[in-house]
Amino acid sequence: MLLKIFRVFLCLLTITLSLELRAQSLQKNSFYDYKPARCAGEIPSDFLVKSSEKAEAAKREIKDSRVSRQDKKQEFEYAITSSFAVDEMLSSGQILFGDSMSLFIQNVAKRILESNGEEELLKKLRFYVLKSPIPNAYCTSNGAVLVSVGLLSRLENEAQLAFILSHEIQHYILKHSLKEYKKINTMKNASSGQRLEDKLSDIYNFSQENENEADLNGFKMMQRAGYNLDEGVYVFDMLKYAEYPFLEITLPIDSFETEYYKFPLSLHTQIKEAVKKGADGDEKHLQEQGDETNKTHPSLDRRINRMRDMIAADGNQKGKPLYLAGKESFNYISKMARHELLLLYLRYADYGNAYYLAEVMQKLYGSSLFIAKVKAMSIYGLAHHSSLKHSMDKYGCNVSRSRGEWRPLIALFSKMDLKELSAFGSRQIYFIKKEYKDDPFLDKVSRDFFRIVQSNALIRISDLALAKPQLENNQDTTEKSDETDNNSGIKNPRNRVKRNASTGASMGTYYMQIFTDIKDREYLQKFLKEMQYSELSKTEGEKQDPIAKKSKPEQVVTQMVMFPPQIELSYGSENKRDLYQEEDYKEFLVNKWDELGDKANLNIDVLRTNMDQRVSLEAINDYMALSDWIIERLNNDTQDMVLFNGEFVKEPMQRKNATHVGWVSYDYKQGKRKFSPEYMLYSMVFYPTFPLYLIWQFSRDYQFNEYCVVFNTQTGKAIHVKRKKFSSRLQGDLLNAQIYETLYNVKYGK
Amino acid sequence: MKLIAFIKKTKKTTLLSFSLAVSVVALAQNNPGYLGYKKSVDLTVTPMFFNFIAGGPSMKPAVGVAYEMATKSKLSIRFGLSHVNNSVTQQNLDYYGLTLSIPNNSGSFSSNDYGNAYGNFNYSYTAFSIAPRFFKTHKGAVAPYGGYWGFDLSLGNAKVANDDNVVYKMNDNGTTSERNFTNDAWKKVKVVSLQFNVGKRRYFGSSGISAFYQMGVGYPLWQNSSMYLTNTATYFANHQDLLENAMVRHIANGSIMEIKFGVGYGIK
Repeated sequence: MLLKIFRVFLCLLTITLSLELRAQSLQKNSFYDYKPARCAGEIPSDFLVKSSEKAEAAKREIKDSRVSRQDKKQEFEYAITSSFAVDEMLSSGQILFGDSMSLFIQNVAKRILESNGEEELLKKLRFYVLKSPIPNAYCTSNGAVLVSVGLLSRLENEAQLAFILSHEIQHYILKHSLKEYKKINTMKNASSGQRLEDKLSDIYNFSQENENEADLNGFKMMQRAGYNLDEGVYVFDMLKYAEYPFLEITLPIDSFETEYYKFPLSLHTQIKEAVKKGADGDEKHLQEQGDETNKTHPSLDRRINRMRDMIAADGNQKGKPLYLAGKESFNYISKMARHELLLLYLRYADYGNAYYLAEVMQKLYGSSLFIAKVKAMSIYGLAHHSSLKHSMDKYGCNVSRSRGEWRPLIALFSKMDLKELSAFGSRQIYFIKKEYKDDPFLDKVSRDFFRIVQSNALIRISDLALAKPQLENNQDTTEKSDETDNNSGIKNPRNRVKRNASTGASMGTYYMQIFTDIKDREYLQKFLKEMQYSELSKTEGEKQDPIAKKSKPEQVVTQMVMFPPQIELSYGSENKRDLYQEEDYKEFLVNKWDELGDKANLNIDVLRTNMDQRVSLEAINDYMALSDWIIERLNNDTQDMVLFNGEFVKEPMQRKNATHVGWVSYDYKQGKRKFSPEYMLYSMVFYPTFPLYLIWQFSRDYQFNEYCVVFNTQTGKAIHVKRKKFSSRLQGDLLNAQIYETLYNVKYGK
Repeated sequence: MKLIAFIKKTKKTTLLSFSLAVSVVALAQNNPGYLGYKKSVDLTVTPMFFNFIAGGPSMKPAVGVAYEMATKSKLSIRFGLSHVNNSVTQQNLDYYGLTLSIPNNSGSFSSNDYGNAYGNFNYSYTAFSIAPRFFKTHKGAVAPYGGYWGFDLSLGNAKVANDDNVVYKMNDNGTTSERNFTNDAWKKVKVVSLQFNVGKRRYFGSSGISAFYQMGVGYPLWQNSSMYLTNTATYFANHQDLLENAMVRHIANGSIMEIKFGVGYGIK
């Protein structure tokens, strides 16, 4: 009896605890010092089953179906190609599951499906969040529904999300991707170099007819679920303005000016012209959104009109709910999505846009350490790339593409030169550091920023504190020295340099007034003194002993984390991929790198995230963290920069006791050899070699490319880059030799 | 004492080999090798069957040992020693058409006795070679693994072993007779050859065991017997010179085109 009671008690306790944990998961993520969302909970079956097994299961279903032979053949091909394509995306490190956002999406989807009598679909559909800033959603052929962070951050309420989910679910129910495939009889081969969202758009590119059908049936689903249908229209309005910030604040340039620090008139003029030019482009862009000529999607205007007609038939939407799963939950995940969006902008080095959005978030949610870090990082990123004379368009300062209220700020960033940007950034960093004194990341970024100010912008930062107030720009406060010696008529050419005697700054340098209004001069001077950079203050680790380089190389890397090796095997003139063999090779390569790492005395920890039962949640999250870091590193394309994601890879790297991360990719093509007329001529002249020529000409041509890069996650430096092409067959000992050579060179930092 | 005498005698050769060895060791840098195997000790076989162009195939293979050391990813140096006991056959002698011209008792040149060589004889040939190998890194080779091309410079000693079966059919004013000459004190004929070759070494798993094949074309650059490069009949004043000449021709023909095979044991 007692045992029974004890068992019941245990069950109840377990249920209560799990409910509590689930509730807590929504509250866990603190926004003050926000950390990136990670996958949680049970790993979905998508990640545990091999792509080949999924393809075979899909083929078995098709085999039993009553379709024509021709159709069956096409559907087999489609099943294989789509299974592998979807899995490639799911294992990209950009997909979240089990986090608060995807759980909320699942919750809303559950309501929609239950109210539409489609409970069975709940077992087939899986809901994920795609870490992408582009507002979009996708539904794959095998039932994975992806909603991007960019879209979640823009949604105003749950009803809008419901419409999107209803629309995507309809693509799955109506099998639009299979129909499209049968029509065009090909699936575009997404290349490995493409961004994930571009790959998805290429593969799941539906026709206007499909989109209209999904809109209509999705609308009906939403109607049955009981949501306010007007919100469906607002979704299209929102998509029309997808290139605008998710929310806007007016941030005039003069809001950055002080009594003494004022932008010159010329800069104001440049900004106004850039903004006007951009605004003209906005009109054209909005018109294009309404034009569906030569487009696969129907125009947004047409879709809006169609929706309005359907809503009118349904009746007045007033009073119909915007939230069924919960407003508080929606607001929470919306806030989370916006924080994720800021992280994405930093990851893609869109610093100009990230700074503006941080200002918006500050207004919306108040100050936080996270927002301060984003602002500091954005300013630092802009200064860093400006000091390297990179095109600022690539770093979130493209004025024509920055539609809306962020354009003036973007124009300001794009028009400022390095000195102006350095002074501007100094003030921002000063206030941020003053508020968040103890944060180590802010400290690192600030110090590196001021190094740029001194070493690249060539501004003496002590002068910033010493600058005397100038009431007007370009006002000459120089003590006018006599250019001419009155006695002899002799002039000193040096006197052409007009300088403020007390500061040493040159004339017309309005930006030197950046700190003139600061009252707490003592603190300012102390701050700037702390930020002073000198060669002498370099740590031992930063100093390089020139003699040491010449002596015998020492092992610099003893432990390394590796992404699972990627491989593409293609054959024939159309470069058809052998997906099954690729899967086998991927597994083979993971084991090979592991094995050869031991032989090379280099501990290699390969993140096993290929679709397999052995996949662990820890490996998936580690992969995600490292993948975010590498994306940021590659988008910045620089050897020497503090990276935002550096903070988030510390823990996984410490756990693995490693400091380096490596990524390798292989590309193996085999096909007919191209006809070589010159070799044929040579062989006819030296006729004994003609049979050899014939053997060579009719033999297969092999191309084997290897690309490998290894980074130090602490410094961001690429310690080894390998790009090699071999015209050779892929053989076991060839792979052994190349992998071992790579490991050897990595070990010694070559 | 014997060693000192030997070094004195072969001063130049010793100095050269020693310098080469030292420079090779000095050049040796850190390089990965194949799974850490940078050196290899090989057993080689060179079937010298290309002698068929000189009247008949010679199926006696030369066997040897070699030591190869990878100094860089693209380069290795190979030291080899090979030996063959071969035979110059009747067909070879017919092909060479060598003639002995010895003065008869009358003392005048015009009445020299002439005799063509018939029969067969054995010789031994030992060669030491040094060969740089340049690996085809664009095809994925990492010394000492993979495809390569290179040069073999070899210094060999050839010596006639047994001439009992050689006779000369002499023509003495219309009278033919057979004469036989023997020589017990054959000198070593030095032969320096150069060969250009291509080959490939493959490894089996990670055991360090490898196998290679190589094809080469070459020819003697220098030798200290009285050999003519053309194939016209030649006249010799003595039996010794004639046989040495035949021997060197045999070696030269065998090295015009050569195929070599080998198995190796890797050393880290």
